[in-house]
Amino acid sequence: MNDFTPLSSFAGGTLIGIAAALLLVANGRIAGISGIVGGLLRRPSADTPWRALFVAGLLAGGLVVHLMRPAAIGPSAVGYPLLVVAGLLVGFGTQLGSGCTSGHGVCGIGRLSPRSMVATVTFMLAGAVTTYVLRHLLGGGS
Amino acid sequence: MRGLVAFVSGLLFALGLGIGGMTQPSKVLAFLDVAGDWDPSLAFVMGGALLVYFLVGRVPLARPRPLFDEAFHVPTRRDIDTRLVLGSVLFGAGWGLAGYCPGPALVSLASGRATVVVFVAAMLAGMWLFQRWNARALPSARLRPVTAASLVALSVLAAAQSGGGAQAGVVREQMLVDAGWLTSRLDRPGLVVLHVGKSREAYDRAHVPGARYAALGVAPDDVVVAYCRTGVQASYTYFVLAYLGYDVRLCDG
Repeated sequence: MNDFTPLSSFAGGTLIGIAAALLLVANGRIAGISGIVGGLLRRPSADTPWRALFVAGLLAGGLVVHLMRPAAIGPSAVGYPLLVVAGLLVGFGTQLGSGCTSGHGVCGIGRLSPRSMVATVTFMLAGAVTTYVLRHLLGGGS
Repeated sequence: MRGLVAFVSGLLFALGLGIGGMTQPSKVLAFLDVAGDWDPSLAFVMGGALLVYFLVGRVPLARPRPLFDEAFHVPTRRDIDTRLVLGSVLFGAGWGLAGYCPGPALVSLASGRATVVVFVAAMLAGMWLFQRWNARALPSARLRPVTAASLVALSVLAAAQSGGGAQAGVVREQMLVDAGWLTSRLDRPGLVVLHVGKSREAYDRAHVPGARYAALGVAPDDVVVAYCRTGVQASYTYFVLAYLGYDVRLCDG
């Protein structure tokens, strides 16, 4: 059973929007997490410093959240083998599809990019189907 | 300044994910589980983010450049290809399995839980595997045809320009110079070497000694040698300058 939290979720979303808009207006960059992290795995380039600092900010923000409200970072109910498979899929998939929830779901749709709309609908559907199979057909998960 | 902006943006992004509930895998899975005890909260995260970004995202249409950079670095592709759809299917499946997408997973590292560390390690490995696979798939598939196409286009245009004096498909020798030719003549007056690139940054990092950035101050009888990394942009410059009547060459190498 999960609490429905429209207000805090909307507030959090607004903050994400402000963060992404700041990066666009000031630096002219897309706040796509998978793109930024993926870029850090490639050979160092002129983009490496700002990408590293963005990820540093992300991790620092995580610490702030953890210290202020530890419960905000929830536990995972999934076993290790499944976590590894999920991680590999997320890593490979976001690079192949050029984006994730942030790059396609927020920045791309916010710019009315047809590619991002297709990508977002696709990964949302794939996510929903996976959860459905896992929870309702196989009866696993939480 | 750009670095500070990137850091602050990352920080705010993390706070937004934390406040919005994206760092609780159970909440993410409850959002994706439409057929179960559906929790639509995360649609409000996306709604809030989109509302702000949609309003501010119009800015690049109105302004020529961002505050702290020379140009906007925004994707321009509009085609829907297999990679986009297949990649999104794989990502969505992984998201539905564990309830983590890249941003919230990184933010959740702060909790120090072994589960999220394992997930992030696997995610980075997945990204790395893609790049390994992609690096092997790409060079022959993308780069060479581009170079080949620009050379064929060059020769066709050259043939047209000289009134059929050169055969299409054969690059005229006087169009190209090689690195040795260039090195031996670098200090000669009347020779202008042009760095043809999209960003000043690349020029600042490395350029041929004495090379100028963009077409500035070329005298009518100077010999101009244009170069860039792949030869594509330098080719455009070649034709603009040749059209304007300059003695221009491309550096081959």
